[in-house]
Amino acid sequence: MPAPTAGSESRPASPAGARPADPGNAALWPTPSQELLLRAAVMRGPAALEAWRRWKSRHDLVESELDHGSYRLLPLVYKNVSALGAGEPHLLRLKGIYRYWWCSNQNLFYNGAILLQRLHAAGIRTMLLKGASTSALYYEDMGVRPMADVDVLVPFEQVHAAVDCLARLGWRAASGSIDEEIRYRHSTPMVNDAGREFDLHWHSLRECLRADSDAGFWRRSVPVAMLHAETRGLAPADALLHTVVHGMRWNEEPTIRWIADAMTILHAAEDRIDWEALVREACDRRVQLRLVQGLGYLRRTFEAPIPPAAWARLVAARPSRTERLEYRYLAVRSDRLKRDQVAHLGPMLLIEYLRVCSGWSLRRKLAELPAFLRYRLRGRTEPTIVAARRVARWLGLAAPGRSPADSRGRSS
Amino acid sequence: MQGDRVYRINRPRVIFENIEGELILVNMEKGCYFSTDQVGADIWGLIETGHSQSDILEALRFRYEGDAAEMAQVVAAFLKLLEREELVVPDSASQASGARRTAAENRRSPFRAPDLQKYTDMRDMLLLDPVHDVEAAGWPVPKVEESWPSADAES
Repeated sequence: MPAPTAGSESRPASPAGARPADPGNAALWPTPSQELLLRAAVMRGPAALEAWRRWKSRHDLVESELDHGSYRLLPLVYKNVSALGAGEPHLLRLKGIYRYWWCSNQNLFYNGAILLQRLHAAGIRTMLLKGASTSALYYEDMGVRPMADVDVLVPFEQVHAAVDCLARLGWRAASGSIDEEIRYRHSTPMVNDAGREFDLHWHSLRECLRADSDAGFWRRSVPVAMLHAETRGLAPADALLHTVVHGMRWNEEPTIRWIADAMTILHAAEDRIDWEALVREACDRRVQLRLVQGLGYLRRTFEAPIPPAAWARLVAARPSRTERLEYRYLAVRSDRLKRDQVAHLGPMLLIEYLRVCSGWSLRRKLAELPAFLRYRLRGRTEPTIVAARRVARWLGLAAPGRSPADSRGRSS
Repeated sequence: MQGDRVYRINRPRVIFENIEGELILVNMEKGCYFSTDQVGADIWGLIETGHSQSDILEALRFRYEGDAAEMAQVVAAFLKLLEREELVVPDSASQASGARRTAAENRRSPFRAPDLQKYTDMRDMLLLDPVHDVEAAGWPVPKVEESWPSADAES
């Protein structure tokens, strides 16, 4: 694999037209160069060509060190730009990048299809999320969207059966302890002895962990095939919601791929998006603020086709206080140093726990808080946390151990 | 009769995609990657739609200009190569459909024997950086390392 570098380019204080009241959210948004490449990848006609030419005037495909986000857009840029008949000295190299990702993705799909068939044979329903679903249903092209793994959602009520089935097939949770993952998270990476990996989801979004959170997603799901395995994928409105909410999260490097995914869904399924369902799901799931911020950016910057009536309904709904706090702490810039500060970590964990215990009784919320904190703070080495853990252990509240939960950062 | 042999694509093991006239094929079980040109892609498309060997030949005669005997020989050899690489398998159950005659006589291109490039280890190929470890032709053609001048040459 190539070794793209973290983007060193300075980011704008906020995207064009973004609310200046969002201090420090710059790392959520693409850099100017990434934005040019995104335009080359998703815009239609002359706007794409103009962006590509401007990007080329600043970068050399071979000599420049590209950040991961930009690198992963190149297959889509190839498809878009070559379709416009642009003369391009590096077109063969770009085509090679497309071929590379087509092969790499097919490798994932081939093994993913076998996995799906085994799960189906055990009576477990499945749905594809993220790259595999978006590629098949909306890009309709298996080479334009680089993927590191496939993401498979199973119904929450079938997750234990799925884990048992996977264990019989030689799969295990990378974290080693799946029960806590199921209780406090939405997914976990699964690995086998052949070194293969996929993400098993029992909830589609980490913000929505109620047993019935995905009922609407399942009900509206659409058929999709992963090579020879028939499964389900997210309907257009749900795919758009999932893409934006999952992508609108602070990362060391902005996860700009969500922008290309969302624009592709909007273009490919413009007439099939159930905007009513989108607004309702966003409000029910309390992710409306992030959706508004994301779609607002797409409207301003990429002329995303969002009906004015749907937009008006979306922005009219007032996000809850928890959602606003969550946006402030989880979505805005919170680099490693800041994340490791106890003053930042405390509110982050509180907000996360509010999501985890949504729908629980007050008694259960209080009773399960220590176990949640043990899970989330395991392996943390900040002096205050280490000291607190010693006190908790002395009081008999904490158990030694380690969780890799904090080290996750992959996405597909 | 040999000329009426029908092949089918060795699904689901074989996955393929046509990228602007270049057909890429992967045998997932063997981990081999193949690439072929326009003529090869045309033959593949005719196999995919259930044409027999003689129908394929007839269709190619409408699309390409060339010596009929030579074309028959080349097509037979190419089909055998595809079969040897387990990209296609003989299909005795299928009924051959009629040849597609899609090109006008006066617009035929000169016939050239199809080229089938083979790369045997996809796992190794996917370790290549498709931007920097490849020739200008793009992945999967690996960059040929420049050799250092020998001591004799330096002196």
